[in-house]
Amino acid sequence: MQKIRAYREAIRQAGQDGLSLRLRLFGFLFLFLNAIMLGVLVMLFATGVFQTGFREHRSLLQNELSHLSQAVYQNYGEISVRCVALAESLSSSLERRCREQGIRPSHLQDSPQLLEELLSGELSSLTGALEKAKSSGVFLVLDATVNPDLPDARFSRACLYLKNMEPNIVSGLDANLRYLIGPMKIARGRGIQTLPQWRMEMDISSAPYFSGTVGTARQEKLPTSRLYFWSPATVLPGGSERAMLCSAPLIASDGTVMGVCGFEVSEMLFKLAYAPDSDSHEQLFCMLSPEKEGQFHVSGALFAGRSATRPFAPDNGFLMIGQDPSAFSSYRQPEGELYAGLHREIMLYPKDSAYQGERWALALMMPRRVLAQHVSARTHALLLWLFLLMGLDILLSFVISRRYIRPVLVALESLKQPDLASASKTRIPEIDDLLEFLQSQDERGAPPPQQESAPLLRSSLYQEFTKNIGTLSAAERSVFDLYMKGYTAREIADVLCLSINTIKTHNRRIYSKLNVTSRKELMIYIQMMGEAKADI
Amino acid sequence: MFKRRKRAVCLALCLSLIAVLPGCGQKTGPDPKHPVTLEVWHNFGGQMQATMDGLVDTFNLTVGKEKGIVLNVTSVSGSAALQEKLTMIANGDPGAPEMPDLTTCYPATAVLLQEKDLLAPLDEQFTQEELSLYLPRFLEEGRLSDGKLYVFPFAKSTEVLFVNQTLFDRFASETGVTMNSLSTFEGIAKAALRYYEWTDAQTPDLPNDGKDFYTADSAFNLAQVGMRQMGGSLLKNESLDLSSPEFQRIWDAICEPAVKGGYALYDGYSSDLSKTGEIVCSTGSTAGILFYGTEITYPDNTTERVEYSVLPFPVFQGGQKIAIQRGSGIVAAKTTPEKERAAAIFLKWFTDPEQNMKFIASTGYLPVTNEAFENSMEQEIADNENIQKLFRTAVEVHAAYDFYIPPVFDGFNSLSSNYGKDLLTCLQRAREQYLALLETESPEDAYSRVSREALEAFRQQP
Repeated sequence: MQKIRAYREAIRQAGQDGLSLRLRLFGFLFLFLNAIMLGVLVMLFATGVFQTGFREHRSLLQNELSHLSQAVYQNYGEISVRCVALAESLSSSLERRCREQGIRPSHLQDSPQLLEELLSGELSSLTGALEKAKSSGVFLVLDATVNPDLPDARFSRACLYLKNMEPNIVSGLDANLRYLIGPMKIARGRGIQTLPQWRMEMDISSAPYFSGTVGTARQEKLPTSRLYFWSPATVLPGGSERAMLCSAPLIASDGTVMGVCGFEVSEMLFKLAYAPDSDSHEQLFCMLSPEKEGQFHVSGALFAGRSATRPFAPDNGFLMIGQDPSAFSSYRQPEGELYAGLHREIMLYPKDSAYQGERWALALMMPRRVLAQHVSARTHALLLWLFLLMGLDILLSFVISRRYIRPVLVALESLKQPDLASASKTRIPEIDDLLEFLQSQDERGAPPPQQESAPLLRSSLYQEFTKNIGTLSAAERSVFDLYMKGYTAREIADVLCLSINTIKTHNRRIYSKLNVTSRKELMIYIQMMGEAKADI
Repeated sequence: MFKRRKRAVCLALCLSLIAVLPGCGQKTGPDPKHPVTLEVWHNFGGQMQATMDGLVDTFNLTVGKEKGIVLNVTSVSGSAALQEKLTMIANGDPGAPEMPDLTTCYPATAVLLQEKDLLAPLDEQFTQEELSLYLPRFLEEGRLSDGKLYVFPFAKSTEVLFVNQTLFDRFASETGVTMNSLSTFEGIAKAALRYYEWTDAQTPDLPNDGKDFYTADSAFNLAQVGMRQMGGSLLKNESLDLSSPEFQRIWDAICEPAVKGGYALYDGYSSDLSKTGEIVCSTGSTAGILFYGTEITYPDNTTERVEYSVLPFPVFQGGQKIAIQRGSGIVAAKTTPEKERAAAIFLKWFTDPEQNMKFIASTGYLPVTNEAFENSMEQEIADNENIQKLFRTAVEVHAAYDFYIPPVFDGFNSLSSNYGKDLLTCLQRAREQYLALLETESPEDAYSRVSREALEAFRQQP
């Protein structure tokens, strides 16, 4: 505390008396070190270190996106291929069965009593296909209904829909197979448990995976491999889970479209298969979404990531894609939160597909504010380090200035001593030289000013001095006498064959007894005695 | 100088202690800055899954966010499939998945996991005061052989009788059978035989095409509870005791309608049969209520809107009113202290009356806390009419019935499933033999013979 007060006082005095050596040195050092630090800071800005956070996150997301989009492309591609193969196999099988029953594929609806048998005959093909595909469900929908007389018959189609409850687990498929849609008799005959949402037929009132695929197949004369369709994610009628369906038309040899078949990718499967590795980004999630005119149509998207981070109710429209200043893309839902991330187009169809215009993209994103928090946390850490460095500068300046100036101050103090010869070495050559110089000057003695000696001769101090000469010992007297004769201390030591230190000891006693404080004063008295021709 | 250094060392030590000591009083738990992710498995399908997903999302966005816990549901499968997977884990079977941090689990399966030291005891995570909020018999069911609580109750169920009131009224108006007959198993057996005759008579040109009236989702539960109602026990020394006169009564109540017609012999859930109008009533878990729906779909794709009634579990004539207490609980895997603590935080939140009632109001389960059971059940909390009916019956059963908790021992699961399979096989064979014998013998003689033989065959099953 005292020191701080002293420094404060010194600074206050500096304005009046000029800056002390220590303060000057402290100031110079502080400016010097901080100038270096400022230079470093400018370099950091110039080299974009403060943007590194964004760059690192971008690189991380880029890698993750690359990995996930590759996985999605491969798995969805594989499902597409299996879907086409299943459609071709079922088409020929159904056509054969129709022929056996004596009906033409184009007249399927004329024999509703045969539908159950046709579906039942294909059950094994469907379970076999489901077992091989990384899919959560398989379906076969015939373009016919068991009861065309019902009021809603135009929206009802004979169907078999089986779900694999755990497509991600390698285990006996039978244990996890459930019956979602189809005649109950088939399920009971095969011992397959039904789901609570069981329906006898498929409701196609809002089913692009049926109507769209069948309609396109009837219009476009293309091979099945160019007619499969990935529907945007939807909840099946009566169900609760969202899923994407890949459907391919069942085309008989005469070109009749008998229905569709395909595979399902449920949201659970998508989540398990494509959840981003997000140990460092808890709120990162992945989204496979239809993309149209710079917007993600999230109502048809599937999400993967920790469930808490799913950003919005999927029923809510779309996300607008924009460019973020931080080199990420920005995604904003009208009146919703802003997200930042990256996306990449996923090719779900070959170039000459009937659906080549349909664009899908895989996006990795997180709330923009979360990304900003991640990045600013890093910048804050950097700034904190710079401030710490500045504190260290102040401390170093203080310590160095203090340590450097201390011997100078000591030397200056020693100059004030009566006997320069007794001043200790500073180990600073320049100061030691100065001390020696002053000491030699001291030893030679300086002529006292003439005008001052006359009054002094009459002074009581002079009287006292001459009186005290009598108190000197013999050894001291001999030294004093030689001083009187104009010898220096070294010469006296040589004459008396004594060491210089003994002479110094004698000097101290002589000063003490004669009541003088320095050699200079002693020489003045000796000179005065000479002038007065005093008889000693 | 020395003094100053000493003072600095003391100051440093004090600061270190101040920094370290606060941690001594706290339990190791999750940290919002470093959230723990808990993998969750459950067996709720359909509407229940939507409810569960909604609650998981709510937790993640509220308490989970605040405390640093993220629940990640990674498997939703049927009850049997889930228990099978957990058994695979307990047995260390090849291809067995990783043990999840939280999963729904029956006590019988939990025994296997606990024997392999895979489960975390949950008592330590709850204070006595917190545990006292739960119905004691629910907690008791979750305590395993070492007396510790491993299977935490989150929702329980009992068995009730679901009656398709629309079909029953049609039958009753023609035959005079009353709802009272459905209060005993003997009464159900008689009504079943009568229903089969009545429906058979509607197509005189097709003999023996009558419809079934009743089935039990679990014949094993029916036998266990029936024996208890009559003061006996189906299990003796961890194996079946089928020689008692009480079991003979159970056999008689099942076998006659099963062989003569009226009792559905089906290896699946009774709701499957209900959806197509092939049975009129069934005993099953309260949690199955949503599976029944509100309409019947006939083979020609026509549908009929129907109403269901929910009655207390039937009793064998002269027997005590006893119903089974069933339902899985949630077990937590033995992992890190942070995860175990996080699991307990979720369980507390999930079973808090507010959340608990949200869950049961859309699933048909029964709540587990005293407060929820006693104060909330009679309120009209459920949108679904069938669930409201169910709750009214559940309150009645809760007040008038004693509850039977199945024992927990190694091999209980296989004993239970083998009983069901063997009974079904024996009765199906007996039915076929009976129909064949009708060509040459009177119905009574034919039944008498096949019934005796079927019982012998059933008793001799390994």
